Order: sequence, then C-alpha cells, then structure tokens
Amino acid sequence: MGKIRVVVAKLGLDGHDRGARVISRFLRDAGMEVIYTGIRQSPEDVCRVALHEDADLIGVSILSGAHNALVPRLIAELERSALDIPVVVGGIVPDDDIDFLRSKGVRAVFTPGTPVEEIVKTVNAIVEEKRAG
Amino acid sequence: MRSLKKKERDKLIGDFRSGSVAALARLLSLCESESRSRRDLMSSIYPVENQPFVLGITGPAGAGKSSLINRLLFVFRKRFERIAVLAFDPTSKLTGGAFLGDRVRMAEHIKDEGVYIRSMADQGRAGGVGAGIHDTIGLLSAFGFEMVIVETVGTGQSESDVRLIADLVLVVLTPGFGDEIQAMKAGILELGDLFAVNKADQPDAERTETEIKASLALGRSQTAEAPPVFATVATQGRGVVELAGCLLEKYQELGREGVIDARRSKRVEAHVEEMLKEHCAMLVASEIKAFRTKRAKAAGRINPYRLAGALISKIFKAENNAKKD
Ligand SMILES: Nc1nc2c(ncn2[C@@H]2O[C@H](COP(=O)(O)OP(=O)(O)O)[C@@H](O)[C@H]2O)c(=O)[nH]1
Ligand SMILES: [Mg+2]
Repeated sequence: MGKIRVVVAKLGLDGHDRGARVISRFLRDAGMEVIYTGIRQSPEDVCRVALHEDADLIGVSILSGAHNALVPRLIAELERSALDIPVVVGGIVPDDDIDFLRSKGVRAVFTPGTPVEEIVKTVNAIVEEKRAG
Repeated sequence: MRSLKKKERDKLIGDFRSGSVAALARLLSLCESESRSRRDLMSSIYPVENQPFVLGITGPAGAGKSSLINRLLFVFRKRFERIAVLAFDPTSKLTGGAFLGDRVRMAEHIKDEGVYIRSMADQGRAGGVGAGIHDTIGLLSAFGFEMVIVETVGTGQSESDVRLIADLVLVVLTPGFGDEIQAMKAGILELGDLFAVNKADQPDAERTETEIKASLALGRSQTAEAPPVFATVATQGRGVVELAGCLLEKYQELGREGVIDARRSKRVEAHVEEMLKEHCAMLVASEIKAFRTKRAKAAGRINPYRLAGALISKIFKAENNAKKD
C-alpha cells in the first residue's frame, strides 16, 4: 500500500492557518503524506490541487463560518471533475451545520476538542474503505 | 500499492495516453510505491519521443527555491506550453509521514492549465529526490511536458542525485552562505551549472555573491568559464527574468556542445543500473533468508566460496526458467 495522501486546504478568506498547520502535523506524525495548499483557496483551486496530487482525502480547515457555502461548492466541483475523493471538515461548526454538511456528502466533521487519535482513526478508516473499493 | 488488475491497468494507460491528468496523477503514485508490476507498467509507456528540459533546483532549506520556481514559471510559460514541477520535501524518519508545503508558494499557478505541480516525499533517501524519480520523469515526458522542474530537498549537502536526473542544475544560496563555502569546499559548488544568491534584499548579499564567484573561479583554468551567479529577490521577482534567460541560454549552449545528450545517456545508464541492482538485491535477500533458516547452524562446516558459487548458478537457472515460462 502506498502512503495515504491528504490534501489539507484552507477555504475562504480568513488568513489564519494555525489550525490547519497543527492538524497537518498530527496527520504527518501518523505516517501520512500531507499536502498543504496555503490560505485563501477557492473550492475550485482545492479541487485542482487534489487532482494534481492524487489525494486520498481532502481535509478542509475553516474558521470563517462560511462552511455552508464553500464546502458544498467543493463537493460539487469534485463531482463535476469526476473525482471520487472523500471530504472531511475541521473547525468551529455548529451542530445544525454539521447535519447540513453531512447531508451534502461531508464524511466527518471535527470540532475543536476532538481527540487527535479519533481524527487519525477516522481518516484512516475512510481511506481504507475507499481503497478497498 | 495493491497491484492493478490488467483491465484497470489498460484503462489507466489508455486514459493517460488521451491526456487525463487524473490518470497521470494516479500513475505517479503507483510509481512511487514498491509495486513489482512497476517495471511492466512503465515499460508499456515507452518508447517516449518527447524529451523535456529537466531543470534541477537545489540548495539549503528556506533559501527560496519554491518562491523562485513560482517566479520562473511566469517567464518559462511564455516559452513552454506545458510545464511540470516536482517539489520534494523530506519524509520524517521517525513516522514515515511528510509535510509537503512547497506548493503554497506556487499557489498563483493553480488556475493555469499549462502547469502541473506535484508534491513528493523523498522517502528518506539521501540524494534529495525519491526512489521512483526515473519513472516519474519518464511519465511526465510521455505525457508531453516540455519542461520539468525538480525542486530537491534542501539539505545543503551535495545532492548528487539531482546532478544525475537533471539536464541543468541551478543552486540557490542566500546571503551569509559565503562563510560556509570554505567548510564545504567541493559539494554544492560543483553541483551547479548556475547559481542564484536569493534574498538579495538582505544584508551581505553582495559580499556573498563575490565570495561565491571567487570560490567558483578557484581551481579553474583562465579559459574555462565559471558558472554564472545571479542576485535574485524571489518575493519581488527581482533578477528573475535575467536568471530565466540565462538558464535557457545555457541549456541551448550545452545542447549544442553535446553535453545535454551526454547527461541524458548517463541518466539512462543509471536508471538501468538501478533496476538491475534492485532485482539482484531482491534475489540475494531471499537466498540469505533461506541460509539463515536452513544452514546457519552448520556454518562452521560450510565452504562459503562453494556455497556462493552454487547459489549464483541456482539463481541464474531459476531466472532462465522463469523467462521460458
Ligand atoms: N526577504 C526575502 N525572503 C524570501 C525571498 N525568497 C523567499 N523568501 C522567503 O523565504 C522563506 C522560504 O522560502 P521557500 O521558497 O519556501 O524556500 P525553499 O525551502 O528553498 O523552497 C519564505 O518565507 C519566503 O517568503 C527573498 O528573495 N527575500
Ligand atoms: Mg521549497
């Protein structure tokens, strides 16, 4: 099996990427190859990065509260590009929005305080399931 | 990577040939992993007619290699329709994971259909690039890229692999590096066809440039031309057009002199050698494992020369029979 390749993306206009960098480090320490996009990416940009990088999974880090608008756009863009890549979201997301995002196809939402082990376990499980095809 | 079924493989190669970036991206991943079927897979994309300009960029971590590539891309895109960037970062020895952040500096190019950027981990190799690099460049050539830029892991040591895989090597250094030159002696200075002193907006840039030029001239006959040195500021784009122009000129000059062809021959030679060694190493490992389990106890009574001879004949017989099947 090749290494799990995760694209960690910062969607939206806020310029803080501490959260994205912290989660990137955790995933790296769990043995994954983490490709970081940098801040202020559009859903279309992230989709292209995932295409180029042959990503197994996209982790979206979001703080701005614009998740309800941006994440579904990313998922739609992936579909349009015929890319079957699971999306997870990390950030401050209210409960109602979690249900909404999941209904749009987001595989998991990690709110602040989620233990690292749980994030790593979930990511591993989603990728394994997808690779098993 | 699990090995592909024949049908999957044929589809992937078909898609690749019709220009699917997704298929290219998938094949690049397959080539990086240890699959036994890699040689077969790669073999089926040859012969490759297209020979891209392979530019290697090396230098210490943080020198500004990725930032410089970002700027160079704008200039090179006026000349080349399609450019691929392979950006290597180190694999963590402890965990096997990697943080690949080079493309953050090149994010401006994401909407450009003519630029393909791929982040790669060096898999803990010492040479500054990953193990499947020959396959990777082969795939990018077959896909039709006119230029391939390889950013190596910046250890500051002499990354000899980049010399081997690139047509031309650019070494990126920074102000203050001058002091280290004496200590390094050969190494990185012998690696470059061209040099950039990046971060020329910082103090001491001129002095560093002078010192590097002096070191490069050292030990060269007066008629032999020393590699050019450029001052650049990647963040502002200063000196980049001049650097790009010189890189292209040098590539053409070396092409006319037959140097590029000679380097490519060396590259093919190294690739073949690597595959032969890899295969032999695998056979040797399995014989040694057998020795350990079956014969280790009687080691005192064994004639090692005879045993090695017998095993060599056995390996070659087995190989021959495998071929006949
Ligand atoms: N002051 C200054 N900073 C630069 C210059 N080029 C790059 N940098 C900064 O140096 C840091 C490392 O750059 P990067 O391109 O990632 O270096 P790499 O590790 O060699 O790829 C970044 O913060 C850049 O913004 C420059 O010419 N001047
Ligand atoms: Mg870099």
